[in-house]
Amino acid sequence: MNWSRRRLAESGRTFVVLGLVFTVIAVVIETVLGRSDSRIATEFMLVTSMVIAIQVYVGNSGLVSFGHIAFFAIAAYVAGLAALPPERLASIAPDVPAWLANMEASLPVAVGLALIAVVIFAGFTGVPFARMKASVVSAATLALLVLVHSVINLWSGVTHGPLGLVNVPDLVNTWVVLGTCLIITAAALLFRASPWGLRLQAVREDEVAAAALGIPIARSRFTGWMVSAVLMGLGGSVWALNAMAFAPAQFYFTDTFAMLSMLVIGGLGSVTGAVLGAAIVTVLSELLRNLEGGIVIGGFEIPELPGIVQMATAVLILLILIWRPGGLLGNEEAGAFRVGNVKGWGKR
Amino acid sequence: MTAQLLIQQLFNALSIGSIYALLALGLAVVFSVLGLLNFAYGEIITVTSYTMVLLVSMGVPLLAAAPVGVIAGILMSVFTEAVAFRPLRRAPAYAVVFSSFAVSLLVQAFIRNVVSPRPQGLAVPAWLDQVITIGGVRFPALSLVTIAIAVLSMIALTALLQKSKHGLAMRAAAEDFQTTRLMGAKAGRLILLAFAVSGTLAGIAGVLWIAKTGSATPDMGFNPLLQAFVAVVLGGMGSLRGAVAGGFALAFVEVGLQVFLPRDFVPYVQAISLLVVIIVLYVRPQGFARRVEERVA
Amino acid sequence: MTILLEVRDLEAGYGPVRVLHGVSLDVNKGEVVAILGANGAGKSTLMTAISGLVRPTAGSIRFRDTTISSLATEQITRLGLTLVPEGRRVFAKLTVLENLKMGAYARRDRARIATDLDSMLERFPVLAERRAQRAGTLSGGEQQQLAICRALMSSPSCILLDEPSLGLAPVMVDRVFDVVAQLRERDGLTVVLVEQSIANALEVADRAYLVSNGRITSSGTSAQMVDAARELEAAYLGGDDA
Repeated sequence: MNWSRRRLAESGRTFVVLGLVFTVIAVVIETVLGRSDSRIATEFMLVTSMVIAIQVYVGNSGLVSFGHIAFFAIAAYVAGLAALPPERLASIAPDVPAWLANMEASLPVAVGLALIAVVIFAGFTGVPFARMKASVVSAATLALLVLVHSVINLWSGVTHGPLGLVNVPDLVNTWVVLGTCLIITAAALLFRASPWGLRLQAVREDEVAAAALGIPIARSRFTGWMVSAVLMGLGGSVWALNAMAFAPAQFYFTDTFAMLSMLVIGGLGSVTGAVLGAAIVTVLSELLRNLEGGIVIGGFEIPELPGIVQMATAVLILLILIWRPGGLLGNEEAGAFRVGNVKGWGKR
Repeated sequence: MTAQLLIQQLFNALSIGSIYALLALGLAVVFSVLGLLNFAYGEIITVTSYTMVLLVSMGVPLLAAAPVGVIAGILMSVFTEAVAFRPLRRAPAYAVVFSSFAVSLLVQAFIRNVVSPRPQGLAVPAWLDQVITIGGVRFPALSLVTIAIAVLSMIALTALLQKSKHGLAMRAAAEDFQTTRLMGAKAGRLILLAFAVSGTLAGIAGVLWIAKTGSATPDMGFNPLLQAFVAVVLGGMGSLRGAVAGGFALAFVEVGLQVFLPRDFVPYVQAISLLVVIIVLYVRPQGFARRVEERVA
Repeated sequence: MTILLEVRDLEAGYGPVRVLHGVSLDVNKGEVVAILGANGAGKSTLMTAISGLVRPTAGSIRFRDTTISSLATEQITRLGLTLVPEGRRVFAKLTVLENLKMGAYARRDRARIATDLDSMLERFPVLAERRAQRAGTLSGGEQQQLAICRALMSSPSCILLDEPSLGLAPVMVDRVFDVVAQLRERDGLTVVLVEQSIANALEVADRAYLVSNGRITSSGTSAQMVDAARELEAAYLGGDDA
């Protein structure tokens, strides 16, 4: 199999569109936005880039993975531990090995270490997961998520347990975030058009036919898993160095569901879909978050509604799945739309 | 390790295993017919538990509340089928993962809002709290009841599957859904039946679970889901007998780990059993079920 | 001659792959009709489309004056049109008896089901002998008999047989065709038979259709088709199917 020319061209056009979107957001952050809005926007960019990273695996393979958040967690913790100066680490995470504790790493080193950790972990887990039958993979990745989460929670000597890492140095500025987004977007779009991406999509469409064509199923899935994991590691470590504080709860259901719902709503098979979905869910969350504390609208008092954001997202997902199972964009990328050439929606 | 301790732990494992086996069976029944896992399965336990808590707090005796709890579980299971599975019959397989996961989160959020995010307690009647001690080994009444109910349920399930026309159809569907439809069996009804049976089993497990733990929280369904999944994987996906065996095996592994692991590692028991599952899935993706020999004529 | 099954301009396929390109045929009550053609010509797709397992994309299928093209398989079986699928597809883990009982799933008349079961076992002593055995342990020929019996248990008026002789030893093939002949003689059924074994098929059938590349290329009485055997040979040895 070769690179798909058509897809490559489409990817190129899509990258221009998405790249522009991200750049505009970055510029707006730097120039116009105030502190709190900046935070939201930066967070949006980083989360979106991680959703794109997940899309590389989930979208191309058609297999839902809850486990990629585990890679996010590992990357975040390794980057955080590497960047934290030894004085601060001594009190919160005394069991961290000396070479890591003393590092006080700079941005590239912290990210690099995180990537190495993720590659090792994803490599080990990827092998059994690539061999599993499609019907069990999702539940198995859920088990992986729980596994990693509980280890992080319990191993307080290294991770500071449920309280998490705080005061992680802020090594990241808006341009680093932009760069991360662009790299991940480019990689995802390239993968989609690449022989490895195409093979994985063939397996997604019809396992039997793909096998008959000589496509190695397990290996294709493994490749997707690894690429996705690495990108996740990149996004996750940059996120950690921007967020400056995080705890195990960050890497569990609420966030897993949030990110996966962005994918589902936007369209599993498309990078643009991931961005679109992220935008929709983020906007929705922000709007509804104001409702959580209870507000007064035109004389009506709306009571406190904890978890309304989640409920609304869940309902939205159900509606999308029923109405358009492929998500809003299905497999289509921004670069696919040209005047007079709007193809069919969604994927059945 | 004295004989006394051994028997005690064996009994504990049996009692826990009974609940796991029921849980695993419920999950496996749906999987065997549909080939899909129900991610809102744990919420059946949750709904059953909260129903029990509600009724008992209103003064209803536990024995009367239990059947109502089971019915609530069946309703939850059937609700999941209607909302997360039926509309997505023609959608790709991953859609159901999301939809059932969404239902699960919806139920949790609903309970948080309508009831309370705080744990709700269930008072177990005095007679169930008793402990019979023989030769130094403690046999809590609740555990004895649990084992008995689990065994009875499994016998009832076997009777349903082996003796009734609908049970026969479910077994046929588990093997070859399309050909079963060719026999005139309505696909929709079969699936509904599978979810109802699943809900019954999970409902019973839920009653036993809440009686044992005494407290209900909105996210309590997650653990049972995981245990059920682990058990089903260990026993071989889709095999009902395997599910039961897997449930007991898991219980024995957990109890064994708790006994033999150094104190510091005990909290890691769940993590370790999950690790075991991943390893099993790698080494023997089909679980430990025996292959049925078939002649392809 | 009343037309029992009527197919008009049928188009069907799997996803984007179109297999049938406008097939039309008639089956009269009491007839045995053979559908012949090489591998991949579309014969099985025709059967699955008629029995409702695959939804046609165009055209119509009428059975006993009811349009069945948009009905679900379950409903079609209940109307009296049953398929014995390619490869038998007996329920291997169920016993022979249970397989037969599944065949009668849609029927309500308990008493008659029991008598039908008994007479079925009497008629096929091989199955009676193995009634408590798992169907997966039967030989190919026995499974084929079981599959046909199972279909008979639904009390159909028309039975579709998809490649009944596939994978069977010649001795078993003869036995199977004896049964097929019985279906018309003894049970008064209308039979549509998809077969690769032309000689056997034409011996037992009244009429035949030749399917090639998803289209009907010729049809006629068995006698006529035998005469046109050269055309069939070409169809088998490649010709325009290559």
